[in-house]
Amino acid sequence: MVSVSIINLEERCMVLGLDAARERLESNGAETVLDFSLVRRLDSRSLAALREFTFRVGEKQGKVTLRGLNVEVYKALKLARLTETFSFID
Amino acid sequence: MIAPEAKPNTPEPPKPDAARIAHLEELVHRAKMAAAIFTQFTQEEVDRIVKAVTLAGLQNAQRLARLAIEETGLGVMEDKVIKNMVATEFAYNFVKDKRTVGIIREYPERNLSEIAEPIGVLFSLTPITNPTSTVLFKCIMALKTRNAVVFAPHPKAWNCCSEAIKTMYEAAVEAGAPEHCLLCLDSPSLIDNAYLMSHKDVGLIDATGGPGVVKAAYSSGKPALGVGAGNTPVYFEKSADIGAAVVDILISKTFDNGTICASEQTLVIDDEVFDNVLSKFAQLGAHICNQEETTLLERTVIDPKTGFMQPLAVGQKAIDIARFAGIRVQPATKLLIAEIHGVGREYPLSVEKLFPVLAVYRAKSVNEALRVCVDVNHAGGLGHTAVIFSRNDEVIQRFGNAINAGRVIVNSPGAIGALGAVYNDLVPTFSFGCGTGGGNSTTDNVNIYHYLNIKRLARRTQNHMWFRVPNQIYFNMNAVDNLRQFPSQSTVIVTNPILDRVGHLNIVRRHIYPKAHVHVLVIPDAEPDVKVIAKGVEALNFQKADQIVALGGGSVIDAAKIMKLKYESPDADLQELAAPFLDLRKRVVEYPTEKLNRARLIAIPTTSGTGSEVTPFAVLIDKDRGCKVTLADYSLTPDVAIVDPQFVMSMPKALTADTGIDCLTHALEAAVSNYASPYTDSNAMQAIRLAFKYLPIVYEDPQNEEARCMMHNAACIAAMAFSNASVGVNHALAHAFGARFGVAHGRANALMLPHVIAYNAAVPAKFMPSPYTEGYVAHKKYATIADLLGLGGHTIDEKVARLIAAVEQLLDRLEVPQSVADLGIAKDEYERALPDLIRVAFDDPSWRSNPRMPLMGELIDLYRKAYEGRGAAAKDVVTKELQAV
Repeated sequence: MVSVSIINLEERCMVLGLDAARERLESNGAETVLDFSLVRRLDSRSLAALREFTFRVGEKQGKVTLRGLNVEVYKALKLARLTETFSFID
Repeated sequence: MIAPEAKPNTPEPPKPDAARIAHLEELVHRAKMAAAIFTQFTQEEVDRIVKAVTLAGLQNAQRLARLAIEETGLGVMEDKVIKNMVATEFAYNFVKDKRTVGIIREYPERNLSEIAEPIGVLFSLTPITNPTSTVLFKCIMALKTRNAVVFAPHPKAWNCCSEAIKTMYEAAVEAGAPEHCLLCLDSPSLIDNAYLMSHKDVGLIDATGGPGVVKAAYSSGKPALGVGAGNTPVYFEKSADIGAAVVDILISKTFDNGTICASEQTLVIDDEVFDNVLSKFAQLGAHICNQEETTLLERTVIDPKTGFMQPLAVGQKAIDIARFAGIRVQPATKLLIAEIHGVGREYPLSVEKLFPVLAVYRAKSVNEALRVCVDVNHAGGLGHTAVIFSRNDEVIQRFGNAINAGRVIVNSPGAIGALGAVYNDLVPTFSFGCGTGGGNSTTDNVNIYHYLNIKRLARRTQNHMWFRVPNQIYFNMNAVDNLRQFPSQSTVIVTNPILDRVGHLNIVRRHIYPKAHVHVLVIPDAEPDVKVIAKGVEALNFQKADQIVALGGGSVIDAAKIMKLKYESPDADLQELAAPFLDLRKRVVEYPTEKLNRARLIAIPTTSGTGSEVTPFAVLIDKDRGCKVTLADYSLTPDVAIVDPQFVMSMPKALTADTGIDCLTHALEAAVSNYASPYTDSNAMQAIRLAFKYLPIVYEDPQNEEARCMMHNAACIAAMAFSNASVGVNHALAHAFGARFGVAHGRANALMLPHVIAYNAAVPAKFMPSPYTEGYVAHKKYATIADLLGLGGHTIDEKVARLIAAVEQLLDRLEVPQSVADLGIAKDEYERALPDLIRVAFDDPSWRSNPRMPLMGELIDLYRKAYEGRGAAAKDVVTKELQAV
């Protein structure tokens, strides 16, 4: 049975949320869903943290799904070339 | 621009080493992340950042100017402060109310919106001549457009520019801008520049600098904004206000010691004022060089090997340049003026001089002055800037036409005038686009709109349609009585011999306005030719006609329409007016609106088919050229139509059938036309209903007055529909076939009609583009017609099949031949004719409004089916797939 960790991200504490996601990824390699429903936009720190997170995902060959992104955030990820690592659901 | 910097043959620089590449990659990556973050910003957030950096630039204007002077040794401290302030305050004033996020402009009348899309990462090269001001300006432009910038300042202005970038960046981040939105290379290197110019993540290169830099930018394969070199010609025309003009030139040419590339270079002065102008210059602090001094100056400031200015002179004061050259001048000298007698390498001072040295030329005439200005313009200044001082608007206009310059500055200082927003309403800039003349992509003053991808959201437009018919239509038995209400002094009746013989002409004559002089013009009963038209126009002129009554079938009414056109507008060229067109409102030719004479045209049809009494069409034969000329314009539409069935009571049976089928075809084609509208539909549907009901009756009982009356009305109503919705492929096929084999138009239509209905009801191999229709509806329209006729059927294809069957039954009742073969046309003869028929049919404008775009192969199939005959059509109804459309 595959366990799925769902992490709800918030704009003000994105970095903390991503830290938590990384820990779970490293502890059990389970599938992770990052919920962006409450994230209106990314700032420089969040984007850097997310980039760092993608490296971890790559190393661990983990599966991470981003949920509930608005198109503005998605476009920022696209321009930063960070969409390849993830799958997306609404 | 500093010409000696140009190194057009410099080999491609080597690539940076691995460590340096990693550094540059990180730099671009940071900028890219900043640009990605920036895309999420709102207009309000952007505007807050722009205001903050503008204030920072203003607060540091003097400090940055001092740094620039100390580092470059060029220019004037006070002027550099002004430049920094213009680059911030004036730029801000231009951009502050401009939208650069989301929808930036809307054109509701065009259903068009423009939406801003940032470019991403800009790589920006800045010059030595205007170092900090250019940086300040570009920072504001980039931040306003949500772009990130990597700057590469000129090596000799590196520190002051780095400081300017740092100042702006700190203010931007403080105001909420993304980290790393403004970055600067840590050291100057052509190798780094070349690497970044071709970097995949750099969206645009913005190069302000010498020709070498600009050329490198344009050669990189990246989108680039580069400015060209200048060599500003100035025409000092004799009507100019000498005092004001001399001060303006002094302001401009001495501003920052002449480092702005738009500043005046060669002054071409009219002979009449030449001495006065020089005297005024001398009076206000210029030194006028004699011949010997001019030679010394040339040797000092122009490199004899390259022909370009010497870098040592750039941005230096006039007294220093004089000292270098060994010329004794007054200590307060602002400007050195030297006379030249031509333009080119043999006149060294005729090139660009970014220092306070001005060449002057004495012109003996306006033509000579303009010629010399053009020469200067072409001697290194194409597309850049030109200046004229004059109070003669005609000369100003001639100058503007002659000179190739993105900015033609009138009665104001060139340098500051070109910067924009101070002396004129040009967009403020520190980067002058020089168009293709200067090897650039724009002639604009580079501004925020060049830092944006502007997307256009083009909503589908609801094109205006129309419904145009004669002003007055009188119908039913004895409608001709209405003729007498139209006052006239001279009426010409156009008719044919038969109508004279059967007494129709006399009936009409009796009803004409009693006081009118009446002249009768009898023309042959055939499509009119140009000679007939010419004769008719002659008669109209001779009679000074104010009213034309056309009594006859389509040919007579068409003839009268064309006679009226030529009578009212004798210069109208019929061949030209018949030029092909796709959309009536966009056609190339225009029908004449100015009229020499005016005459009312009243049409009284004597057949029930063509509907020419209400249509804007007319056909004539040009026998000399061997072709038909079809004219189409609403100005041809008769003013009055009188649809009186008494004139059709004696129509022969065959003519009744042929013209009746023509009427039905008009209505069926108008109903499914791409130009159909609710207005034309109502006419088309009614005409179809009347034709189905009354055509068989009138065919079998020609004296049935009610049936005659209704068919006469049906023809007119169908014509109102197709006058506005046009016809379709049936008419295109029939026109070609009828002309080739001498078959009456209505009969030719009948042979094609069932097959064309089946064809239009099927899934098109190719849909016809049409802004007037949404989706494919021809099959549904046919089904609606079937319902109107009460033909039954449950599905669309059943209804279409029943409509086709009903049309075939009607044709059978009218004793229309079953097929082309039944006309006695041999199959091999027909097959041989097909290529020509296809060519002619495809050229026919009738099908342009057909719902389905006919492919040539399909036209051949239709012709072959017409040869085989009726019965084949219903089998072809394949509308099933269309139910879902």
